Parts: sequence; C-alpha cells; structure tokens
Amino acid sequence: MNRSRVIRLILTILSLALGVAAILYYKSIISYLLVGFLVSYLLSPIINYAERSHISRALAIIIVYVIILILLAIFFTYIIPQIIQQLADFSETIKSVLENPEKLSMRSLGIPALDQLIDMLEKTFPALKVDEEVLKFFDSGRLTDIMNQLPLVFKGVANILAFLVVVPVIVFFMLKDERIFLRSVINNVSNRYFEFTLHLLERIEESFGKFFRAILLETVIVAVMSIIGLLILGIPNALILGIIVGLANPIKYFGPFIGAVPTMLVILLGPTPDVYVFYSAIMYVIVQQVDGNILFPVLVGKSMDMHPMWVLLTVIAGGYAFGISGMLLGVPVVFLVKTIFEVAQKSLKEFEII
Amino acid sequence: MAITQKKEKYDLSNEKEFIRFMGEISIFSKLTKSERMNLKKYIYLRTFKPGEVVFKKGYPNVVFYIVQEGLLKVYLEKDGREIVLSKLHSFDFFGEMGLFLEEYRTASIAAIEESKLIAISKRDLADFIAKFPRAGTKILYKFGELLSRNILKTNNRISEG
Repeated sequence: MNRSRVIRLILTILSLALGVAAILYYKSIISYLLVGFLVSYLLSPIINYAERSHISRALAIIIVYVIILILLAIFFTYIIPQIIQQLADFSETIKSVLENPEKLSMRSLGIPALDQLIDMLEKTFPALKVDEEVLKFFDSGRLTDIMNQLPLVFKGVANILAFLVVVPVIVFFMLKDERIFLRSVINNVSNRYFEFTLHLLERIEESFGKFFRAILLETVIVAVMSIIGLLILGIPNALILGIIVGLANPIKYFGPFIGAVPTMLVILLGPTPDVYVFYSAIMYVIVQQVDGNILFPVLVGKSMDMHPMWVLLTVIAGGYAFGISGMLLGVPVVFLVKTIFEVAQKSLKEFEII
Repeated sequence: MAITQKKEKYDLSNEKEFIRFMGEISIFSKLTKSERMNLKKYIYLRTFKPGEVVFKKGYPNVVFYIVQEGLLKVYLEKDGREIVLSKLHSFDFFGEMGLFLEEYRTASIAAIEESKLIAISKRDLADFIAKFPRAGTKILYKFGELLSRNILKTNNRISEG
C-alpha cells in the first residue's frame, strides 16, 4: 500500500519533470504549434466536409493548399504591391502631418459651421481649448509609435520563411490525423471520465467553435462591404482601409470607431475633399447597421452568451492591459474561458464528479 | 434484450475478426464487409473491471455501447437498494435510446465480470451516417425494426393483461 503510493509519487514527479523538459525543448516552436493548431481548427470543417463527399483527407488538404497557394500568388502579384504602396502613402501622409501638426487643426477643415462651434465652445468654456486638445492628442507621440511599429511586421524574414515551411507541415498532419490525435487522447482517459470527456469536448466545440467561425465570417463580410463602399466613394487606399475596418469590427462597441479612424485621416489629409468624411461616415453607419441588424444576429447571435456589460468591461480592460490586440482578443479569450468553466461545471455535476 | 449466444472470443484489433464480430450485432448485420470496416475508425474499445460502473441513471446520453465480452447488469437504485432489471452479455448493446433522445440515462449499468465494451459516441455515429448514408440507412432501419418490435412486445403484454 505504502510502497505503491511512493511509486506513484515518483512517477508523478518524473512525468512532471518530463513535461517541463518537453516544454523547454519545444519552446521555440510553440508559437508554430499554436498557429498550426489555429489554422487546422479553421480548416477542419472544410476537410470534414470533403471527407463526407468521399475525398480522402490527405487529398482534400492538398486541394485546399493548392487553392491557398493560388490565392497567395494572386495576392502577392496584384494585391501586396498595392498594399505596400498604400501603406507607404499612408505612413507618408501621417508623417507629414506629424512634422507639420498645423494641418490637423480642426479650423484647417475650412468648415464655417465647425469654426463657429469651436469659437462658441471656447467662449463658453475658456478653460477648454478644443482645437489644442485635438492637436495634443495626435502630438503625444502615439501615432509615431504606431507608425514605427509597422516595419516590425516585415522584419525577421528568416523567421517568416521558417514559419511558412513549418506551419503548413504541422497543419497537414494535424488535419489529416485529427481523429487519431483526438482518439489517442480519449483512449487514455479512465472509464470514470470517458463519457465526461467526450461530452465536455462536444459542448466546448459546440459553443466556442460556432462563435469563433461566426466572428471570422462576420469580419470578412464587413471588410468586403467596407471596401465596396470605399471604392464607390472613390476614396484612395480603399483596400487597406476596408481591411482595417473589418479587423477592428470584432472589437465590440469601440471597433467601428477605431476602424473608421484611418479612413477619416486619409480623407482629411489626402487629396480627397474633406466633405467625404461625412459620406464615408454615412457609409460606415450603413455597414454597421447591416452588421448589427443582420450579420451579427444571424451569424453570431445566440452563440455569444455574454452580458453586454461584461463585453464592454472586457474590451476596456483588454485595451488597458495589451492595447489594441487586447481589445481584439479580450472578448474571445474571456468567452472561451467562461465557456470552458460553465460547460465543465455543468458536465462535472451531471456526471456526479463534483 | 439478453440474447444468449455461443460465447466466442474475438480479437477486435484483427480486421477479419472485427468484421465478423460486427456482423453478429443485429443493428450492423446488414452492413457490407467494407462498411463494417469503415466503422472501425469511429469506435473506442473500453475494458471495465468487475463492479465498475459504466454510467448511472441521470447522466447525459453521450455514448452507445456494444458488449464484446463479459457480463453486465442493468439496475436502478431505490432507497439505497439495488433492483437489477436485466443482464447484458456478448453481442448485446445498450444506450441506444440516447441516440434518439436528448435526455438522460434511464438506468444504471455496471460490470459484473470483467467486460470489454465497444463505445460509439452519438456524434461519431452521426458523422458515420452522414459520411456513409447507405450504411447509415441500414443501421437506422435496423434500429426502427428493433424499436417497433419492442412496441409490439409491450402491446401484446398489455392486451394479454
């Protein structure tokens, strides 16, 4: 009795040590594994669908890869040069403004009504210098920081190359042997937890998988709608501006505003007449209405069961902790953790484990 | 449910024996050999020690089981006493109601002797049926036949009073 306990303790310590050693050994590629996991998670419904049509998983993955390669080729030959051009234009515009902040003055817009409003505000509240506040906001070096970070994306070409080689290989095997991986895990679960584990995995996949894919689809549709709207209005850099709007969109409450800022800057600072600020604002309001009243309820809708107040607080807290990426990822991560806890608690009770 | 048959040991890791064993299970008996082989990817093999509980009344319906070998009891607990409803032998299956109802287990199952079970999760079976609709139809027909027979049996019992 005592001896078996000692042996068990030793085995536990050994396996913990082994686990730590494994993490240390594989730590440099953990990010690859995570990305690989994420990508295969996103692609898995496609492969499963193909498998139902009696296309083997390996063949389906290769077909998907070929399609992705063709898309990438199109992307690199036609779109990337354009984006780089637009990015350069954009950062040039911003830089020129930062060197010459007068341009940002709200009076420079030359809208008489706005001038009057500013005059009136400044007369009523002498302590408030509306115009200067705006200038100060842009002057505080935040924008320069953001602009300086942009090249970081293109840095580390070697890393990116390694990424581009390793991740598809990981994704290939994860997708191909998805069922085998999952089965080998479940096979090792003891009888007491066997049904519980299956149940838990199904429930998490049900609530989070649906939510995640819905958000992704919503992002793409909003980006496409915005790009079309911008193209109709004839605003330069439509592609990158639309993509920014789409990417910012999943940030609840703040996203639409954050996403629209670059568009407004491009219009105000570029050759486009300033009045297009209003047109594009109207266009974004329409896009948001379509998103809020049709896309979100239909796609995401019930799959996100989180009180609006928590969503708001999560977004704000995420912003404080990790900046824009925190605002973007805060809600999904908190939702995932919440889902796992809720589902686990319910299942644990149902299976009388607690 | 307890159909006693000649006891035979099957080694399910062997392809031929797996196909043969699955042919003995009434709901899979109409499947072709290759269809039965395809089923192999969708199952889990579990071994239960004597006295070990498979599931209890009130647990969620997740998995459907086929007895490969061994002996199990179906029982209910009432006032701390155990009422054994029936016993399960090789080739029997249980938990099939859970495949069609979103409800909870209606009785408890525990192993009496060491038992080897084949477990198929509800979701995996749905996947199998979606991927192999022809085989799926045969399985569902067999289930329909089985459930109809049970209703018939119950009706007869009531009318005989």
